[in-house]
Amino acid sequence: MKNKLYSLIFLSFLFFSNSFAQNGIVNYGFIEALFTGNAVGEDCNAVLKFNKNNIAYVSNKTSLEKPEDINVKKTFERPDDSGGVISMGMQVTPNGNQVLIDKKQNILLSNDNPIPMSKFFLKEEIPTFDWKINNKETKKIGKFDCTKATTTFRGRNYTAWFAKTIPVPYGPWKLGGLPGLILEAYDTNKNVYWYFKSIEYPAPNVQVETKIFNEKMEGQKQFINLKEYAKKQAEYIKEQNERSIMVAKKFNMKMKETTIQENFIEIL
Amino acid sequence: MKKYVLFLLFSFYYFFAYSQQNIVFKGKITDKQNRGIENASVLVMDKNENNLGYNFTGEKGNYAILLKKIPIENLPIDSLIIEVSCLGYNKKTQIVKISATSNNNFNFIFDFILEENAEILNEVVVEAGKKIKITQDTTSYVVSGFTNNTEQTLEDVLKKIPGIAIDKEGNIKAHGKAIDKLLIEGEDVFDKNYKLLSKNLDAKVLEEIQIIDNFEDNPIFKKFGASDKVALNLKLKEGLANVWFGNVGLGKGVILGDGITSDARWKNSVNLGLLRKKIKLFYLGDFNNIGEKATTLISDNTIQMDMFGIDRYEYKTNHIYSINNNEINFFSKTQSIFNNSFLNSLSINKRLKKHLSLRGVAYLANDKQTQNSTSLLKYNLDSNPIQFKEENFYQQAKILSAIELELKYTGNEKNYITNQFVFKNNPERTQNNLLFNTTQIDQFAKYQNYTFYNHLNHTNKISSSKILNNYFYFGNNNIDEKAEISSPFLNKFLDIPTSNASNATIPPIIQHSLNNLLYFGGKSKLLSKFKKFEISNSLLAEYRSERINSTFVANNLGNNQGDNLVFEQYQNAIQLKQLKFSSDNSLRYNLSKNKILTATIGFQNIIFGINNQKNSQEDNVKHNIFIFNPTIIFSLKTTKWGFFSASYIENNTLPEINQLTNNFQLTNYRSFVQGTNYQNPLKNSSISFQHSIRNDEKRLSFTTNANYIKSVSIFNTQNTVNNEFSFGTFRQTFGGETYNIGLSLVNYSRKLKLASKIDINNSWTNNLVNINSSEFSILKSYTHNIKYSATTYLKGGFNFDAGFSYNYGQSVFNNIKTANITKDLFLNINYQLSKTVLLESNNSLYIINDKNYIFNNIILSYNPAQGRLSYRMIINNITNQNQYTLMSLNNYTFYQQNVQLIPRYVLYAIKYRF
Repeated sequence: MKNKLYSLIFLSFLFFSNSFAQNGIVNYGFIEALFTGNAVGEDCNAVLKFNKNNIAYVSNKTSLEKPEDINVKKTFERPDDSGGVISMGMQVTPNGNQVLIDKKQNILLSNDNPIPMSKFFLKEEIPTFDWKINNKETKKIGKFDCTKATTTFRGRNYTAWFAKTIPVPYGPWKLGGLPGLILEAYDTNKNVYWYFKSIEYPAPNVQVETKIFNEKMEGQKQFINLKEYAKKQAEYIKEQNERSIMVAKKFNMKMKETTIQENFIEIL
Repeated sequence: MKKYVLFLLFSFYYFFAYSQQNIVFKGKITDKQNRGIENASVLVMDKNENNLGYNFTGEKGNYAILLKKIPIENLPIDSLIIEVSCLGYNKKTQIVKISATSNNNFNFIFDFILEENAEILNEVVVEAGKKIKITQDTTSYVVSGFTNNTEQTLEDVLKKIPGIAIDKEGNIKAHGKAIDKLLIEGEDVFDKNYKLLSKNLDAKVLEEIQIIDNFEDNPIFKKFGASDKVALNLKLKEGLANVWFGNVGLGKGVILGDGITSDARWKNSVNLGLLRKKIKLFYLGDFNNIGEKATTLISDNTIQMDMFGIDRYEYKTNHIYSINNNEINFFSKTQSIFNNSFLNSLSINKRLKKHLSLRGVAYLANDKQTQNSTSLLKYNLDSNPIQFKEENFYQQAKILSAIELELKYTGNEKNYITNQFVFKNNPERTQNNLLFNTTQIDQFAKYQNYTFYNHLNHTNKISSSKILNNYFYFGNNNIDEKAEISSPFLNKFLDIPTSNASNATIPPIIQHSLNNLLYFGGKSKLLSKFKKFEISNSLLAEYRSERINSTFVANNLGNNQGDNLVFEQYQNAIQLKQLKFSSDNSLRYNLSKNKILTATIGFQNIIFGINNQKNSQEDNVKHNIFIFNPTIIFSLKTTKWGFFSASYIENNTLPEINQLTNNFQLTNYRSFVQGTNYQNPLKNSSISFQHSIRNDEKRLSFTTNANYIKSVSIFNTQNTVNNEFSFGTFRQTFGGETYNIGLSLVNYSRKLKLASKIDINNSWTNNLVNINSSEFSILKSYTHNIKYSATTYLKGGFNFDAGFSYNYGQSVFNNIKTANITKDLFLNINYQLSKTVLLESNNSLYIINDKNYIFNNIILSYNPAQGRLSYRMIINNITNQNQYTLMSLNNYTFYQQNVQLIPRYVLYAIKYRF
């Protein structure tokens, strides 16, 4: 009898002890303009789902886009007209680019990388950010008053606008750690740009994914660490440049070198 | 010794640690039941709200913040702000004081208890800040981001979109260029008659407006290269595809107070549309008498020559006799035009077969207009100024029925054929009764006007870098004009005997002329594309025949009915025949991606035959003329500084048929005009410069232009004026010069939520004028105008739309200087009384040469959210401004006119949307 009472009390404790046990979902728009800059690039939907321990962010996912928008060919040009990108359609995959955070275990898993034919996840500790918050600079996004914060993270200087009235330390992609939800973020040249579309909290029908969706590629390690990722980036760039040299040589043209900046969000 | 060293080390360590020690705020955040709150944010700021540090609570509700930004020397600190927030709880803010504690560990403990607040966040921002999207050649504007609910038609919405400018006649320019087409959902329905759509389509069906640069309709030309045409595309709201949509509006007005006419005012309109994949259909109908004319919405003829695109040649002949309609150009149409207009247009765009599509439009427009006025006209001539006083009663009925059919055939990738056929029937009847000084003059003019044009274009892609376009065209314009004038002055001048009986009617003079123009031709154009340049070569052969046969007869002479007196010296029978062979060649050289140089040379060989009858003798002259027209254009596109272009154009043309008549013709009730012999082609040359810079993200656009036009050889008139008549003879003389400078700036300020536009234009002209003299003298004129307008986009409450314009015109002739100043101010205020009720007040003040005119209108509209009905009440001209006095100093004349204005009325309108 006593046991039952204790278990009842224990259960009710569990039931009421969560500060916010509920799930929330935030929709962003994400523009990737790594080569062109100035937020001129493919605009796709990104979703951030969170609860108190887990965060799941995904973008460039086929099911998030309208089918008729996916295969539209577009051309994007750099503002100084020194080049451009021809996009043969949105870069979407069935599972999308994911970022999964588990706060208790302090693990961050992410897989957005342009390296073709590779399906590995970067496994690292949740990164810490050194944000400089400027309380004087504010702007309104929707009905939320947002404050500006800046930081440098892996080779890019980000500006983020966060809402103090939504006090969760989350944001799109890997950004977070501010005393409020990041509603808009971009780097100096707007090579990457996330903008706010909608928020729903509580969102009872939302499930926050904790496991990655991925198939393991044969012969490839599924999880790699930051050092190995940096190595893979350097290898990819070298390969791309060597390929361009071959093409240039064959057609007697001048080749233009590509850099990590133009291909990856993180510059390691 | 060891103890001392240890002590020293210890104290050093302590010292070190002391100077490195930071202030730490820590504590526990709990709820009312004393449970720890995880993931609550704790933020520490100084009294100026500068951020000092923050952190989040852990599982048990504990937090610790290391305040590195506060050196320990600053203690004690008076006011630090701690803010604690968490989702699901009310935020707590506390101001704390800290001072050095006795135990020197600088750890300050602050615990908080938060109150629950089941918060629901449900916010959706549609395309936050992305009201403008730019992709490649298309700039899209989401309509809801630029409108304030007062817009009724598509034209009202376009006026608010940055980058689009609409002139007084309704012609649309986008990104500085006149638009080539106005498309709906990507399809062309109205072609050159887009004004029908812009002035009638309901504003509420619009979702997005797109400006498409480098637009080209012809798919083969499009793949070839960059065209510099601009088009607008309308995207309609979702849910309108595949269903019938539209609206029916009824409006009836009642005159308030004493009005001049007792006619009630009405405005009824019908819009009907259907957008399906294979067929697009629009019916637009409008019946009104509030000043919106119907026949002016349908375009006249088009002459288009595009070296790297499609050409279109439509020629028309001219009226000889015209009656002035006394319309005032300053005021808006609803203030000064008395009309009864009726417009119907039905347009279809249908895919007949896989590769064949048909676009057809049929219009029927009917305008009846009445304009009455009194005026005074003085010519400033040395010691003998000449003066005319007129009282004018004018009525006109105009019908325009037209049909346009266009077939497009996209056979395969290499061939594209279009055929466009236009037929217009445009009869017009005008009646004018004048009291000229003390004499009564009656005019009655009747025109029958038939036109048809046909354009056949075949574009063939020879290879990936060569296109051949063959264009065949023909057209015919026929005007049958009959003018009947009963004027005692004219009869006295012509020595026509009139009976002296007191009730004798004045026998009318009838000038009857048949003007006919027939032409046909073919043009072949070859476009070749090379690595750095494009070349266009074309050959044209055209035959044109134009004829004027006019008779000048005095009818119903006095005693014997049917006795006509024929005045051969005012009759003309002239025929012009032109056989033209021309070759236009153009080179477009791309120096670099943004530097483009275009040079065009045109050669023409025209065999020009003039057959003129004078005194029953035929006068047959033939000229073999060679003309050379060069054009050079240089344009430069930069990202930082915008777009620059400079050009030099020389234009040589032949005179018109009415400039070559042998005898005088009556052109209005007191003017005769005579042509002259042809000597040389007319020539003018112009140099112009343009700069425009546009930053759509910053919502800023800036354009400047400057040009200089020199008329080397023109046809000028030598005028002889006396108290009753003016006689003009065309003479070929040296022309004058014109200098023009203009500037335009559009800007949207996010802080003020204000969009403003400023336009400045200056022009200086030297012209040769000859009145009652044997020589031509110089007339110098200068005009300057500045126009400013601003619109606010505040959320809720009041919004403003205001502006002013200042126009100054001055001319100097024979040392007499005359000047003209007009100013106008407008202020439109709209106030959203509730979500569904909108109140607008439109006020305009015109200051014309020191006279003030004020017009005030109030509009109240009710748009219920559910249901399809919406209501409007318009009170027009509250202050009942009912007369307008125009004094204008024009060239060498002084002119004063008094015109009636539309009196005050209330219009009740109801609109049903489906």
